[in-house]
Amino acid sequence: MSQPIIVFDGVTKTYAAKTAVDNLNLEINHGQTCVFIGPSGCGKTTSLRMINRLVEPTSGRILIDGKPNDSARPEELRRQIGYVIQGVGLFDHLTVAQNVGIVPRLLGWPKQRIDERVDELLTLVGLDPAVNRNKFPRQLSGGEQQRVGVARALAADPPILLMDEPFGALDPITRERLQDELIRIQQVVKKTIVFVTHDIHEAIKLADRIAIMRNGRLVQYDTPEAILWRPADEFVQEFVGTDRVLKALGLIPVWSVMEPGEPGPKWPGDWTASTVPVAATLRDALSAAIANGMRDTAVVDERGAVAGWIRRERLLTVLEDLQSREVAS
Amino acid sequence: MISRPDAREPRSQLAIVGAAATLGAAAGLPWIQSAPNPLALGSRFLVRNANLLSLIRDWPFAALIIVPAVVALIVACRRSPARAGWGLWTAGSLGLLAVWATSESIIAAGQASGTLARVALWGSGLWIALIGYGLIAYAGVLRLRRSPAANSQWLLLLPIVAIAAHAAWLIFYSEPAGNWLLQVFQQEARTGGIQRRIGEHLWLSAISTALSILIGIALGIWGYHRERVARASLYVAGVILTLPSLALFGMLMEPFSALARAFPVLRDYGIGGLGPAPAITGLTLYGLLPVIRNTYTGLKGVSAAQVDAARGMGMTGRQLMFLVLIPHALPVILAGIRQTAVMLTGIAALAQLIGGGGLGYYILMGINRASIAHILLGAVPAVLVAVAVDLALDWLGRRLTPKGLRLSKGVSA
Ligand SMILES: Nc1ncnc2c1ncn2[C@@H]1O[C@H](COP(=O)(O)OP(=O)(O)OP(=O)(O)O)[C@@H](O)[C@H]1O
Ligand SMILES: [Mg+2]
Repeated sequence: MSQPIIVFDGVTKTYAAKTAVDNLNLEINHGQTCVFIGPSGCGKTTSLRMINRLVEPTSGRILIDGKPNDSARPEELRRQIGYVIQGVGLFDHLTVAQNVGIVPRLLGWPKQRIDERVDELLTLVGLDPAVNRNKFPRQLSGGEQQRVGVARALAADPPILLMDEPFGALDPITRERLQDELIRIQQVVKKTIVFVTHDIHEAIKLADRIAIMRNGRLVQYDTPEAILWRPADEFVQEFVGTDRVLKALGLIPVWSVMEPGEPGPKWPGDWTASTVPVAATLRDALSAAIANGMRDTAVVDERGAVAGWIRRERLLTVLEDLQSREVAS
Repeated sequence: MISRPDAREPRSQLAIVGAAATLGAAAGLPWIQSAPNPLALGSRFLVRNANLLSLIRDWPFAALIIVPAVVALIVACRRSPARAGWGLWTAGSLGLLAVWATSESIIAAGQASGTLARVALWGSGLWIALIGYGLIAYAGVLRLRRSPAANSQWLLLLPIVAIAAHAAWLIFYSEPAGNWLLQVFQQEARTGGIQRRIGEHLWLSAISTALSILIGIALGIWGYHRERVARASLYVAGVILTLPSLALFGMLMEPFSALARAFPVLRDYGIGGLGPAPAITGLTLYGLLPVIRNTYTGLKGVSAAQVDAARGMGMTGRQLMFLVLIPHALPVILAGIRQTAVMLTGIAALAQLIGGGGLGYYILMGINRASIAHILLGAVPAVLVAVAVDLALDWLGRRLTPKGLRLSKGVSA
């Protein structure tokens, strides 16, 4: 815990005409999700691919668990690091099970153990193994393919997971759902995730730390909270956008402000019309409240039972707080 | 292209052409040609061209030959439903069998009655009638294929199987034939000559195809890694293909005889300026282009995302090649192999030019003696071998294509 798992130490990558990554210094801690974000071509993919040596830095070092990542053969390194690429890249000629089991197979696991692991992972990413194990990638929807991609990256239980715009090509609804699933999966597997995205909402939703890049340089590396309220410069401010209050609401989990209570005379009688799940954020709660005509909103658990309530007054207080911060900064 | 089974279909033009050709050939073209002796026939001085109409007087049942064509013409001219495919197919195959099976009897009867001289050959009319009936049967199969239920491809083979069986019986077991062509076939088959030449032919093409595959795949893989190698080898293999085969074989004679002069021991292994060694070398060179090209393009066709994923997961170069690239490129590579194999079984007929043996032996002999019978004795088995190789490799290619690749690119993204 004490030492960071990934360290970029003065890393620079220069292509013939262009510096893709310029003197990058960055530390990522165990079990955290670090999201790289920035405009297209700013060096996110290049930074990510230097971690598993698909790209070799021109100068500087990358330490993994304190050891330079070029101290062993690149294949050895890569088998310890899960990788979900920008274009999914499932192997068309292999079944879903064979795709997921490929790294364990490279590592020489016995067949029985691979089969068990495949079923376990398919279940984890929300695909029924019995139905999907023997399908081929071309028989899956885009969202299902992406889930298989995530399962494949997790197969050998690597401590680190690299994800390069994994949900970039999906429709907003599927995207949202897979983000929720990733949060759920991360609670189970507790990996160190390095995640690349274009989308500031996605970054705020998933990140413990956000790294904002511009033209190969790291502009700010901080918590989502800090990025929102203490942007390092105008570029970051512009990148974060104008609706900071809404985004900040997205950082506050519902459970942290809800009041416990059974349905009864104290609460609205027709509470089923609009509810929020426990895992949601205040942003979702606000949407639900608006749909309710700004009444108190029920919070429900996975089984649909009422777990608590978000009071209208409480929601408005939080909103006012955030607005005053917005005015102050 | 699936239509309702009772939908009115357009006229089958293919069948009309087939029927018209058959009837025209029966009426006007020489059906049987005959000569007093093989030499006269060989010099194409035909003493007599007997047409079907004159033969019918001597052998009335021959009229049966034209009945299926008339029926097919009537069926084909009506705007008939897909079911008419059965009618066309039946008429075509019966006609095919009738023309084939009666030809020997017609010749025998003609010779007995003195209408035909001793040496007889099929005339152009009979050949065209066979082709015409083939077209009719094929038109029937095409029409049947449009209706959803019929899986009728195998039907086409039935008359061919019957004819092949009958031909085998004629060649191996029946009395000496009246047909000169058949006489030559009988002679060569019963002394084992044709079997030996077919064996040589298969051996020449198999060895050279195997060598082309080995060298071609190696060059294709190397070219995948180095663009310059790909460009150079594709260019050279392309230039080789433009060389006339005669010239290529001729050019190979000199180095091989020099080699044999330098190392006389090689002659014990049959290596010299003449014989199979330069022939196999020449064939191998000819066969390279399709294999190199398809290996290279097949490998290049694997999506960058999959290659990237494979490397990112820690595959070594060799694992990437054998677990991802080659399985993906396999259908394309196999298509190239099939092209090479068929091409080389064809060109192997020229190996005899430098003493390589094979079915070219009969073809060259036929050209020297101006004997159609010998040319056909070489050409017919050569075509059959090439078709068999093509079908076999087509089947193999479909079997070996990974199932996941046979699916069309699916649903979303
Ligand atoms: N192999 C390469 N050769 C030359 N230049 C490259 C190469 N790979 C990347 N670059 C350049 O380096 C810069 C950073 O590329 P990178 O792929 O890291 O961008 P990115 O931030 O991931 O962009 P996007 O969001 O569009 O994926 C780009 O300007 C790109 O043109
Ligand atoms: Mg990128």
